[in-house]
Amino acid sequence: MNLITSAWNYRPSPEVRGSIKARAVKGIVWFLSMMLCFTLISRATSSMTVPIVDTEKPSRSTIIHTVTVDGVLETVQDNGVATAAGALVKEVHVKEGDTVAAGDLLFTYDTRDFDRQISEYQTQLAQINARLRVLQQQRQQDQEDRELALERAQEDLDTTGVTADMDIQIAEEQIRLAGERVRAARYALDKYDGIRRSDLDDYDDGEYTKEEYDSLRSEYRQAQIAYDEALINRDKAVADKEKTLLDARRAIEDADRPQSADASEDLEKLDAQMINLKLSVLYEAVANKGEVYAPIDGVVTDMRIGAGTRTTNEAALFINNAETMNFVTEVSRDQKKYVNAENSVKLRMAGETKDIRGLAVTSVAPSGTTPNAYRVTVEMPADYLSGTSGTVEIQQKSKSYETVVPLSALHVDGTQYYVFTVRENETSMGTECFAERVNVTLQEKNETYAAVTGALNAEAKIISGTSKSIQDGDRIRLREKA
Amino acid sequence: MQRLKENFLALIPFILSFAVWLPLAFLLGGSLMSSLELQELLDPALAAGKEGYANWRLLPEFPTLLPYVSLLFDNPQFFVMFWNSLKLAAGSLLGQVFVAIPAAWWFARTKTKIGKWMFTLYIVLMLMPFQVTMVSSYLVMDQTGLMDTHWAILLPAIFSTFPIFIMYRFFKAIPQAVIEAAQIDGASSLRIFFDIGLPMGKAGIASAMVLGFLEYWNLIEQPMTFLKTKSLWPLSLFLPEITTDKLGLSLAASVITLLPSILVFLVGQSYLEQGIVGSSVKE
Repeated sequence: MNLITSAWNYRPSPEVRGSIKARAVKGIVWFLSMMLCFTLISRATSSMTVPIVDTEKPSRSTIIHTVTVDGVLETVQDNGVATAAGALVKEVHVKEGDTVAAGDLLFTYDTRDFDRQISEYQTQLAQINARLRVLQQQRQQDQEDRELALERAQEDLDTTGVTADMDIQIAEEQIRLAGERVRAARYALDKYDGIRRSDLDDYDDGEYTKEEYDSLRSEYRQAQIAYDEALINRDKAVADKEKTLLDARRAIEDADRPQSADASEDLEKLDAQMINLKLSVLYEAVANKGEVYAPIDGVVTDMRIGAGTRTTNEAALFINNAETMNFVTEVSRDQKKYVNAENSVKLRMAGETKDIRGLAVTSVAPSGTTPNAYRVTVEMPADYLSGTSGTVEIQQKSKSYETVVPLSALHVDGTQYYVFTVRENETSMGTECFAERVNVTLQEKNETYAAVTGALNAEAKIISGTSKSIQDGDRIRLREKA
Repeated sequence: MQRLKENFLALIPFILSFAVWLPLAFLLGGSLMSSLELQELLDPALAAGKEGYANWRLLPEFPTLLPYVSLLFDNPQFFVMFWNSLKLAAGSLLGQVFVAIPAAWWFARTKTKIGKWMFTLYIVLMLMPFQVTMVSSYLVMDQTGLMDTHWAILLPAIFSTFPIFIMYRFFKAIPQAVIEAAQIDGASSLRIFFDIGLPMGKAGIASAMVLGFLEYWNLIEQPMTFLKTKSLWPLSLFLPEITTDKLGLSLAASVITLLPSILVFLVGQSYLEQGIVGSSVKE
């Protein structure tokens, strides 16, 4: 108790009290200094952890889809320059890539081998013509035979019909007579005692004797039998008529059936044409004294002969006379959506630095070689060689969208697309920025932009990039723009 | 028997003071607890859907400095509010030095009737709680454009009546003979104020400053009423911002908030005691 009382009555001496006061003052100074340090440290720490973001405002724009693919040039149309086969080429006056005009000398060859060839072809042609004449005559004969057979079959049909009708009429007449006989016999029986009997074997005493009755009954039965036979004969006559008519019609059909196709005549004609063509070439070659001229204006694309070689049945060279060429490439199914005739097309050929503009897609068709791919053709001026590679850029503009944001601003959570916008809030640190998630619906997008609809206004600041990952409600800092 | 009675009487204040210190002990212990431990103790009272009473223990089961680290390194908002509180307290006290001290000196030394009436009016105003004058104060601040600024709190504090009342008594206790002697010696009123009034009344001045600091450091009603912008809020409004899942943070903040008050009190304790002793001495 003395301890408690003395503790209660304790009073510090002035020296001690002064010491406490001095220490308290020092404590306040130290405390404020420490708080100042921690203020700076906490701000520095906070600034290091806060993500720095880039923002953009949504814009009203279109989405441009660009398809960039490599392809190659193809000629639109090649005209082959052929000459008679087997001639020795003496000199070639053009090379691949040369532009020639109609009438320009292309190459020259020796015509001395052609006379023999002309004789041979003429002989072959005569043989073909003879065979052709025989075939034609045979064909005509066959036609006449067929017409005769048809006529006779028709006559048989007419005759058979009349005959069958007569047989049926006779059978009908017999039926009628048999019927009358049956009725008479029945009448006689009924007259016997005035009663119609259902059982004719039931004899009853009457006007006639039993022998007379049996005689009448026998007559009745025979009449019935004759009647039945007449019916049968009539049915048979009808069936015979139908069969006879059917046979006659079949005979007509057989006679009228077209003859089986015989291509012998056509083949002979084709052979004749081919030989005539060869002969015309030979005649022309002989007339031109072995000089071959360009039939049309164009560019020599494919040279297949050289000095000292012999001409073949194929074209010696090809001349492309088209003013345009086709740039051909393949695109995938996804890319095909953005390729059509209204697209803006830009082409750069290999080795060039300038683009060819103002082109158009002429066709898009399934590729015959690559599955799930489409062959795209772009028509362009024929300023390059066939086979030259290049790169085509096809652009398609979408319709105008009200809200277009950078693709980096678009995020997806399962099936829900969303963007982050900047929301300013008043906090104890002043006006601070926070990330706010806004759900949107994706309309269309390309590799850099996306058109969306949602609760976004034109002044919203959309976060397009961030130094750290952010969530809804996170504090953020806007990157200072230089 | 008399001794036993004296000891028993001395024991009662000791027990009462222990009861006063207990919440502080809880606060210190709680500031060293982890969030899990705090939730385990306070969930019955704070968690939704649960019934029961909160538990507490004096010493943490798993002590940690994480609340202090989080508060001091990861919460710059705390320091914004800390400096706001310091600004309000220091600004109020500085303003009172220039306004309340001369006013208290005049009230103490004047012999006019109007002075006495005004002082009586001051006492009446001092007795009014903030809630009574809140609406009129709000309207005045709004009309003058001081709303949502620190001046809405500083100006009323600078022209507060309470420090005048404290210092008045100390200035009043200065013997008139000393003043007259100085006047006879040719001292002006201003010189008497600075050379006699202030030194002899420093206990009262210090008392008013200490009590004023304790009041303005813990100010909550005026900031809630006049300050809308969060960046202007003092520390007293930091704790309501904290959610129940950050109780450790709030306890650590409470300890830090308590420290300046303790230090200032230790500085001004002697003056307060002088004032209490001095008021009991009759001339």
